[in-house]
Formats: sequence, structure tokens, C-alpha cells
Amino acid sequence: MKWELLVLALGVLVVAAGHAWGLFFAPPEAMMGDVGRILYVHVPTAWAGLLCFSTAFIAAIGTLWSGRAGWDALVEAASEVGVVLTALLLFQGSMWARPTWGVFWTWDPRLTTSAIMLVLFVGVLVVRRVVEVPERRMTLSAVAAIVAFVDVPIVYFAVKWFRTLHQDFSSPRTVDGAMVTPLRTAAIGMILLATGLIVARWRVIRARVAADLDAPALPARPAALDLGASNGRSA
Amino acid sequence: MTPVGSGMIQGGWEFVWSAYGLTWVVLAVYLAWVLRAALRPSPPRRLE
Repeated sequence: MKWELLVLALGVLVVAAGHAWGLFFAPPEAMMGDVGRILYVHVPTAWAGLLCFSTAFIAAIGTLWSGRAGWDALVEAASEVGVVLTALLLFQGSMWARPTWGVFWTWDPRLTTSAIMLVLFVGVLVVRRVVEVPERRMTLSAVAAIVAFVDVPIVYFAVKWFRTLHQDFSSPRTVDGAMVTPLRTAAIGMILLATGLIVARWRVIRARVAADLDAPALPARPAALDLGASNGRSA
Repeated sequence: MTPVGSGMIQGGWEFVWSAYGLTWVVLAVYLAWVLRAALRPSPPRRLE
């Protein structure tokens, strides 16, 4: 627990600054009015969540390539932080959808693929909990993370590839100049926060994974249960 | 009558505060949980 504390504190401060700027000083959106201020929390959460899942994907490849506990722990840490952020993302999106689209949820391609992404990475975390043999857990969760990551570019490009209600990419080309600075500020803060969270979780998970790998393996078939041999009968 | 495709949504602050409020509450709780686990002294490594 070293430099990530500083990154976490900095992330909280920068996110707070970006949110305060967006809530109180940025102009209302031309058509959505004050509801458009959800932009400054929703878009940075989405970017940070996608970066977390991309990190999990890279870590999964590193795990399969090297078999090292550090990569394995990073798969879990990044997936976990990404799941928290994506769950928040879907809630923020529903709060934005109700006043603008008239519904909290619709089976729009961007929304649906985002929900699938959340479920897939929850699946990665379930694999981490269910599989007890460390080497097997390492391989299975890495494969699960790679499979889950297939949905990430689909989520990102859904607004281009499909007919969708969701607005286009939020970038300096599509967002008014007065909104770009608070948006970037909140995004930088959210990425710092996600980075700090991943590193803090990674240290804890890596220690647990290393302890699991150090533990002596259980005998495959305890001698006391070999009933045929103890009764003098051959199998 | 306002033509379709024009005008600005009025109000809606309750949705804005809900989005920001829940985000900050969840992040604060998660951050506290992460820090609690991270600052706990790690168990000694097995010697055998």
C-alpha cells in the first residue's frame, strides 16, 4: 500500500472537481437542459470501466503466456473494479434515459451489449470464487476474461455499427467546448481512481493467490478411503 | 405548440442528483472496503 493511496486521493479530488464543474458551472445542454449534466458522471464512468476490462484482457493474456500470479491477480482486480463501474454506468444511464427517452431501460444495442458485458465479467469473478485449484482457476478465469472482452469493442462501437437511440461518442468533436474541460477533468479523475482501486485490490489478491499456490496439494485419493484395499479385496 | 425536435427539457434535477448521489455513495463504500482490506496486515507466509 504505497503510491496507490496518493493516486486514490488525487482521483477523488479530481473527480469531485470535474463533477462540481459540470453540476454548477457548465452550461445546460441545448436540448436536454440540466439533465445533460449526467454526462460528466456517466461518460467518465464508461471510459474507466472499459479501461478496467481492457486491463483484465491484457492481464488474462499475460496469465496464459507466463502463468505468473501477478497477472492472475490483475485479472481479478481489474474485472472487479470494472464490474463496480459498469453497474454504476447502467444506473446512471437509466437516470439519463427516463427524462430523455421516457423509459428507464430499453433493449437498445448499446444498453444491451453493456448489460451483457457486466454479466460476462461477473461470470469471471464467479469463476474466481468457484474454482478452488489455483492453477485451474488461473487458466479458467483468464479464458473467461478473454471471452468476456470480445463484447468490449462491440459496446464501444455499438453507436456506429447499429441503429441506436444512444447518442454518438462523446469527444471534443461532438461535445461543446464549454463542456469538454469538466468532462476531461472528471474522466482523468475517474481513471486515476480506477487505477488506484485496481492496484490496491491487486496487492491483496496477489498475496492471496501466492498463499494458495504455496499451500501443499491435497492427496488425490486419501488412503483411509481406499476401502477395497483395507478389506483385503483387490479392485 | 412546440414543434417536435425543438425546445429544452425542463427540470429533471432529481435524476441528476440520483445519478451523482448513488455513484458517490457506492464509490465511497467500495473505496472504504478496498482500503480496509488493503491496510489489514497480511498473514505470515507458510514456512513448510
